[in-house]
Amino acid sequence: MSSTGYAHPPPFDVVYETLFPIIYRVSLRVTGDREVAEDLCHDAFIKLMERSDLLADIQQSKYWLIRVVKNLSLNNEKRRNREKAAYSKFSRLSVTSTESSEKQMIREMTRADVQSALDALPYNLRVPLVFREYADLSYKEIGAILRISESNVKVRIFRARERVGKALAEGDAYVS
Amino acid sequence: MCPDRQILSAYFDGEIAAPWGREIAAHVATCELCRAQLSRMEGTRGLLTEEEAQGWWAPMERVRLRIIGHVPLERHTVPAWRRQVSLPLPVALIAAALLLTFGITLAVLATRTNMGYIRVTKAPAGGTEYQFAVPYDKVEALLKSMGGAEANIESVMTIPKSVKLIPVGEPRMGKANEFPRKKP
Repeated sequence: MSSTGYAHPPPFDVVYETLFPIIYRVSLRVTGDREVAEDLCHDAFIKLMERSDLLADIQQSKYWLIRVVKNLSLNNEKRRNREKAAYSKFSRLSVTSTESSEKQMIREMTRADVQSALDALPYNLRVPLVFREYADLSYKEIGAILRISESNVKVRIFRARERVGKALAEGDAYVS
Repeated sequence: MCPDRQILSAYFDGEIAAPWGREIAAHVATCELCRAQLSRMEGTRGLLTEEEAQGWWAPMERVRLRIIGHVPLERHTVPAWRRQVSLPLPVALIAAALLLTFGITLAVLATRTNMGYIRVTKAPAGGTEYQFAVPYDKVEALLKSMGGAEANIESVMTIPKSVKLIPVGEPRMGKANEFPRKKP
């Protein structure tokens, strides 16, 4: 029996619904763009469909999908760096939605601040932090995906956390 | 003595092995500074992971539909006959000339096949020489039309080498020539 508790590989739908929220959050926070995040998820899950051997173990599927997303996001990151200046405002707005109450507005601003703080990080600091905070990967798993040592992961996460914390503090982010 | 801030960050992530982790936990319990540091990390994590309620639901359904239908949103495939082709002007002119030549050649060949051809040349001795090539079923008609002409006509029929003639009936002249050679 696999670690998912299934005697046989679970249907693709089950794996999809279990892992989509994690993969989407990771994609969104790495890319900072909802449409691009959806595209990455689409491409990653299409690739997963072709690897039925992975479906038996949801943890392994998650790990594999995150690796795919990381590889796919690299191309996007190169394009984004070229367009960063022109689209920085759009990127900030793209993670907001329309909610009316004052508290919700403050929350939306905070979410936008969070994305801005992540966007401001260099890619090599942003990705380990996102993998840690949104995918709950261990330092060892992150190191394997990024092909860096665990101690390097530790340093990058620490630096990323420091910078994000500082940026959010300067932006007076709302903490509930 | 307070642990290094990187160590504290790893401890916050649960990445410090048990004996060292217990040491740090014991220290943090008594250290205001380290507790404040951990509290800031907790606050940052809270902000990072605070999500819209079910914010992923709509994207999940959209992506599911795309996966089911394999319908790429922005990648429209254009049929080959509707794709725009851009060529440099000289290349386009050469292509047009080649096409025109090919078309004319095809038309000429098709005309020859159906109608036969006639070549008119001036004979060295004076007069005009006509060379015809006609399909087999038109030969009789051609000979009839030649028979009705008033001009002096000398005709030569060229048979392709691939055609084999089968002799039919008695070859009288051959027989006559052989006769004298017979011994009485």
